[in-house]
Amino acid sequence: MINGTILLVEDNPDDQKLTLRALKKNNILNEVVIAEDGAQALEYLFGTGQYADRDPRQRPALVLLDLKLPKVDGLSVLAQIRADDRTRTMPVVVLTSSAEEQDLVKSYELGVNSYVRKPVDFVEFVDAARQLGVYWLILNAQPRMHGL
Amino acid sequence: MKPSRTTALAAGFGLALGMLGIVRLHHESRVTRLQGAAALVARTHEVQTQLNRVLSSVEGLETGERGFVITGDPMHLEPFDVGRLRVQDALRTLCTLTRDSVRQQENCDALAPLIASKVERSQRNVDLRGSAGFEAARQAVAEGEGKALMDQIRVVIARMDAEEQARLGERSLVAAREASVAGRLATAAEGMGIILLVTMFILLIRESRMRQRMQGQLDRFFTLSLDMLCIAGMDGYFKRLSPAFHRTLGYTTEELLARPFLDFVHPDDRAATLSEVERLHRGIPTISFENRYQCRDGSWRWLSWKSQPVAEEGLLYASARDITERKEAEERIAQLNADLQVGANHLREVNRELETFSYSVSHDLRAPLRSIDGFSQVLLEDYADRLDGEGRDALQRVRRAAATMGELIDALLALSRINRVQLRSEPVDLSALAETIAAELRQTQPDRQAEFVIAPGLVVDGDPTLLRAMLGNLLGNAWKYTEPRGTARIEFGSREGSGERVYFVSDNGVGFDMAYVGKLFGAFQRLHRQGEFGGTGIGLATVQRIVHRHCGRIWAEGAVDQGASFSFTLGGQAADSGSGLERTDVPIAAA
Repeated sequence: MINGTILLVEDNPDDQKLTLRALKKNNILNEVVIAEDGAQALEYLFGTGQYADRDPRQRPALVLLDLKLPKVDGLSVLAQIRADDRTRTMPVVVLTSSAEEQDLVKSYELGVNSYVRKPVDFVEFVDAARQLGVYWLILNAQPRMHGL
Repeated sequence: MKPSRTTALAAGFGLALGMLGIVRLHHESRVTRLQGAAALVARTHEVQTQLNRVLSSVEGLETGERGFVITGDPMHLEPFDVGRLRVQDALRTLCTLTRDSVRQQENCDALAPLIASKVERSQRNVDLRGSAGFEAARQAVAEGEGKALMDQIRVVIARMDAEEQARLGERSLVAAREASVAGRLATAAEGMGIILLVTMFILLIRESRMRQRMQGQLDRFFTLSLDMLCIAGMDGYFKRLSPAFHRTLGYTTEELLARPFLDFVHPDDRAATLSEVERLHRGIPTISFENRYQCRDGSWRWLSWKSQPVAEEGLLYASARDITERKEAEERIAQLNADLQVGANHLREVNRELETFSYSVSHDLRAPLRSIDGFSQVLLEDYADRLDGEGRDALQRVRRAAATMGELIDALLALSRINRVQLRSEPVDLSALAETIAAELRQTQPDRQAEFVIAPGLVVDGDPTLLRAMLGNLLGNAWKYTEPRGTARIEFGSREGSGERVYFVSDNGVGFDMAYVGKLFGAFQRLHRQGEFGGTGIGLATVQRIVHRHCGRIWAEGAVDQGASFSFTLGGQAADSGSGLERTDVPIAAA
């Protein structure tokens, strides 16, 4: 899984760039696919739309999911991932600006694996990315159902 | 009239009737007795007659015997035979008449053989005259036997006569005695009857007077009553009205009596009034019915009705109360409530907007901050060789500013969240919390000399998370503002205020000028320059909101360089939710 794909669902180009940089800083060299909104993320995961020729059985090693997204929001994407047998056990980490209790509670209710609040301080963010990479790409054994 | 009084009168009349009955019975028995007495006298006379008949028959027999003995003429035998036959008949009759008396029977028994002997003796003398001649018969008579018998007969008859007289006297005496007792009884009954009738008469007069008095009282109440009292007919007209109608409506009583009462009812209330009257016709009383009546000046008064139908009289008895003022007050209250509801809806709307706002603040304001900080860091890392010291310093300042703004946004969100979160209520050990916070503060600066004085066992009911944030802020402030002191002294305790428990956090720090106490609890209000002490300026605003959500109050005392003391109460139960309406001891600057 060290070489699996990471699906980054993020609409903000700055955040995309900073996230890629943070991963690179931690020597996480996995291929990163970027989906700019919830709909695109679902098309990628289930091999539909512009990703119709993709084999959905090729699962990403990790999904980094923002909550506030155009078209289909992050919580809906999470719900559909958990509703489908093909993606049910996939590790999903919510990576968001929101520290709202309601977002946190809903995410865990829908079966998220981790909830990480993006810190303003980039140095802290790099550290968070390192921990995520270490846990979900190296230590974690697949397949797993919900929970850390 | 009360039933008891009616019963008493009926009983009185009954008694009087009874007395009259007794008198009547007495009269009847007296008539019977008089008839009895007359019969008794007649019987005595009959007995005496029969006694005389016996005696005269015997005397007739003796006269015939003597005449025949002297003359020998058979002419004298006729009275002899008549006497002999008649005496037997008279004796039988006499004995039958006196059968009821033992003594007279004895006399009869004594008389019968005497008469038989007399008859036999006389028959013998007559026979002797016939057979042996005058001289033999004269001698037989002269022997005196017949005379002796005759004397004895006379004695017995005289005895019987006396006996009969005595019996008559005796019976009359008994009858007279009985008559006198019955007479007294009748007299007494007559007297009682009269007394009773007189009493009844007095009672009736009294009753009538009392009724008159009660009628007068009722009339006075009717006239005096502040409520409107009336009697109305089933025909839809008033029959009688108390003066309160005139006072309330302005119409004269005559005007009100002249038209059907429905004419005075507000057109919108007529249908309801008619159906209420219909119910009354069916015998259902009105407990509370409200309608509007027109006044003479054209205005309307609200009346509340209570009525009772009396079917046998075909009347409605009703009282009405003027409730116009109450109605108007109710309308005003309803209007105020509606206004309040509009205000509350507006507040809810504002609150929802605020929530949406803070949610997007949390997301959208932080994203550009991350870019500012992140790309500054990119410059510092990737282009360090092309930046001089001043350039690097500028980028560091950009990063610090971004960090500060991030903290401010977080603090602001935390402040707004206090009003949005659902409050829990459970026992919270403030003393234990204070100890934990104190230990955490010491760890941040292990080198500082500081003394915490924490009163043990202070337990309150409240939300543990919010109370921890509140104590954390107060103790954190105290920790921060005592830093310039050689030895910090920070105290957490409680005292009895006016009927409530007051908690306080005091320190020996730099204090503040009481002139600015009003700014202390406002968001982003600071009494010290940023360079002196760090912080967002939101801590005390947060503390105040937490105290208010627990229905408490908070206030501060202090002086420059004399330390500060923050006192608060926790009103018991926690306020329900952040509706935006809350107590404000100190004005809060807009967040």
